[in-house]
Amino acid sequence: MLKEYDGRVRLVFRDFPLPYHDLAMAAHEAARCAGAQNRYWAYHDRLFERQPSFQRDELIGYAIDLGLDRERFTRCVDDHQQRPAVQASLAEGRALGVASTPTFFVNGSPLIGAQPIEAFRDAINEALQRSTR
Amino acid sequence: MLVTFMLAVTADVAPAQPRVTIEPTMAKGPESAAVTIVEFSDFQ
Repeated sequence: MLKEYDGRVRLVFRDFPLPYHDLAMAAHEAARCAGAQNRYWAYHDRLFERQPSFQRDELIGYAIDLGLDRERFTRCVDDHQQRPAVQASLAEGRALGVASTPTFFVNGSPLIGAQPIEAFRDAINEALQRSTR
Repeated sequence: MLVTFMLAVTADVAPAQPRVTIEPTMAKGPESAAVTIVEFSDFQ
């Protein structure tokens, strides 16, 4: 979609680990640890490819595969350095009324659940029209 | 650097507007984009 709209759309990812997914919090923390080494999106994509294999050693293995500094990454994960940031994101989502994932906001308008690509095109086109008024 | 913005709402409704934090490492696309899609998601 970003390529299709060529500079007119920005995507912002926010953490919303669901409480009944035992390993989700660890995965979100790990992704942010990868982000601290400037590899957030590569790690993000790896997690979606490998879900739900998010045991500690698996999370570290993905980091090694992506060429991250193992020691630094492991310390970040084991010390839960990114947990406060994940919790802050979760709180923001709740404040916005997010109750399930994925939930999207297209210039503030909610789009809930895994939607067909056409639903995104419609929402983006509407937002673009509003932005030019 | 963190950036926050107010989610847009319709003009005739004025609820308290929660802020969304935009962390550059977790964003794709130009800051100047006309449309911002915020995705709250769970990896698992």
